[in-house]
Amino acid sequence: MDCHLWFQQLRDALRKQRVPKRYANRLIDELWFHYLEMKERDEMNGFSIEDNGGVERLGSPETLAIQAAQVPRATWAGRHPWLAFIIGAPAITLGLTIGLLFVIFNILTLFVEVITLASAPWLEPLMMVLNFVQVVVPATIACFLVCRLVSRSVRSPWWGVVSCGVVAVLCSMMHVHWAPAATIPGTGMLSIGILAWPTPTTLLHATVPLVIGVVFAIKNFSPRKPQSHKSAPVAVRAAA
Amino acid sequence: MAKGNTNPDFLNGVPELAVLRVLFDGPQHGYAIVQSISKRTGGTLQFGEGSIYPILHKLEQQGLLMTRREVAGGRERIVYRLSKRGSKQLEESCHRWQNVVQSVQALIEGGDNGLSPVVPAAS
Repeated sequence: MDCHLWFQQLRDALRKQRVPKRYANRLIDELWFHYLEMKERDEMNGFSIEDNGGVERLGSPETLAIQAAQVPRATWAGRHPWLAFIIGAPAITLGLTIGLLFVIFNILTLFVEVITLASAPWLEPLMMVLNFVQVVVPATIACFLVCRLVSRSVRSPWWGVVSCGVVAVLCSMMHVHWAPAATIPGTGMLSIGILAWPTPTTLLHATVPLVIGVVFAIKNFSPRKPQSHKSAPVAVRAAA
Repeated sequence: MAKGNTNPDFLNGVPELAVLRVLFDGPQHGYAIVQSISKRTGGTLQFGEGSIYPILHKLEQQGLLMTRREVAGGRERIVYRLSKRGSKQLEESCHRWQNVVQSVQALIEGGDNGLSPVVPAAS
């Protein structure tokens, strides 16, 4: 069989099996280089690849597509992308925020009985930083985790971008505010909640997950190098 | 190597074991892995050569293999190497496989259970 036709059949079979485009491209790339290696090796040994089974040595396009379709489903996240990426990302963010809040609360309660803004003016900027960090750190961890999961499960990078977007929306409405005691020790306040509308401060929270999403998109959507297999089989055919 | 051969169900898990064992000796790219398996098994284990890639990708997803892109001869190719988890998995798989081999051998020979050999000796 003509190698161009074989690769076209593979592309069609992968599309039919709904193999994610990014993974399909990687597979075709690797198979194309494998084909070139086979061809070169056969030529070095003094015969043509067609005499030695041709491109069909790679297997049947349909069987390969069926095997390839199982790869994104090999992990739990790959089998349940909605649950893992769209529900999972905000759930991880919320879980980590609550966990971090608990840790910070326990540390701060050791000091609130003795420290007030009057005795420690540096407390106010510290609390402002803490209010920001309290939301942004869990969101950052969740976004990195989800983007890594998307890459590993060979799902479309759009899942990562959308997850980061969902986390950004959550962060833009998440409100955590530590108010240190002004003059009387032990009267500091903590307020947490989800706002109906974002405020300029909470919108700032959203920038970090958005930046992670954009970087992930740039990294995964930018063309790495020309896909040689798309034109190369034609060149091989012409040369033969 | 036979063209387009895939493994029968009985050999489930064997291609994975073969890949892990070959990569235990050092990083290699897909073509070299297929050649190594073919050479080491004397051609007994025959893969449709392309079917090695879904196996490699699945092992990579499971964290048993790691990859890096490498340019050789003007071509960028993906080189696979065993991760620490992969080494552990290889050890477990080898142990399990040896148990299977011993059990099947005992079954064929009649073994401890006093069964008659499945294949009688030629007279």
